[in-house]
Amino acid sequence: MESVLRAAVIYIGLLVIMRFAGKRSLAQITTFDFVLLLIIGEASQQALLGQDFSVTNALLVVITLVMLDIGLSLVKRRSKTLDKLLEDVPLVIVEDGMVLKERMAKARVDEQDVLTAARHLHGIERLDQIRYAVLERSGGISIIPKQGKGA
Amino acid sequence: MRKQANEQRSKLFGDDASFQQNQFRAERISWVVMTIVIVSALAGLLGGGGPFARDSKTGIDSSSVSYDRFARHSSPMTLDVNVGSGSERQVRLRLSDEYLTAMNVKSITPAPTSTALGDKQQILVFDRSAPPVAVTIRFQVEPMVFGLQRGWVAIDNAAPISFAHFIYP
Repeated sequence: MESVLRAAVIYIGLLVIMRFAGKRSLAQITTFDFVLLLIIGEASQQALLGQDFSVTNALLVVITLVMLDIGLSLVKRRSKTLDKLLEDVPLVIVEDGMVLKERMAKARVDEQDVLTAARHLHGIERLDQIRYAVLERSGGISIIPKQGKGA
Repeated sequence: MRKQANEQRSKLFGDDASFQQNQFRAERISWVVMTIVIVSALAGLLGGGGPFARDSKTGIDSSSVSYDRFARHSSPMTLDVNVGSGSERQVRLRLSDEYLTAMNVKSITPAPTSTALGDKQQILVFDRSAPPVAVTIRFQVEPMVFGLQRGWVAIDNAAPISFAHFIYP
């Protein structure tokens, strides 16, 4: 019982923390994000396993985490509200080449992030070639170029 | 029509509808199995606490032993021996040698005043205050073996109380 409860508490705790950290927190995996992920993993490990290092406990913790994830994904399909609460919503940050500064500032995204995504995805050089830039729920930026992007 | 569409998808993208259906079916079955595992764990059937995790047995001399039905290899668990008030100030607790060989005894509370080796058993002696009161002797142990592990405990010359753990890896 203890293993399942420990895993559930850690899962919910991390879910809440990461949700409040915002979309961009671990989306890009910079060097520091990577270190942060390792530290989070190390910090959670002791709480997840306690003094019990048996194979049974390890498998039980993994099964609980996986089933919580599957369970939540099933619940999210039925409830739009819960889906939004847990997964966030996409956010338009550039519209017709115009930067929506307030939105970008609050989401902690800058023009360079948008231009980087634009270059990677479509070889776009300037903001005025972008029809929409959307900060997706995953934290990634997707770009919809203007028709004839040389415009 | 549907077959044609499937063939087209298969040719273009390597899509294999029948394999995917079997995969989906296997996923659903595994979810049920994993749910059963979690419910069993919550009930205490996989060790680590829960409503069915512990059992106790009482001997004819009113002493009893409380133990984990299910335990896990190298994980701490407790074995409580409850000794009735009786008339003797000293409690001689006998524990099966086979059981102690399978367990790593981390602590005994209270600590015995003396120990002795007997025939397939170990004898631990505890002092009580006067007049003798009922006491609980707690062994904290870690299983060193897998599978079913039997043991017995006896107070003074009373008949042994048998118990068993099922130890998961």
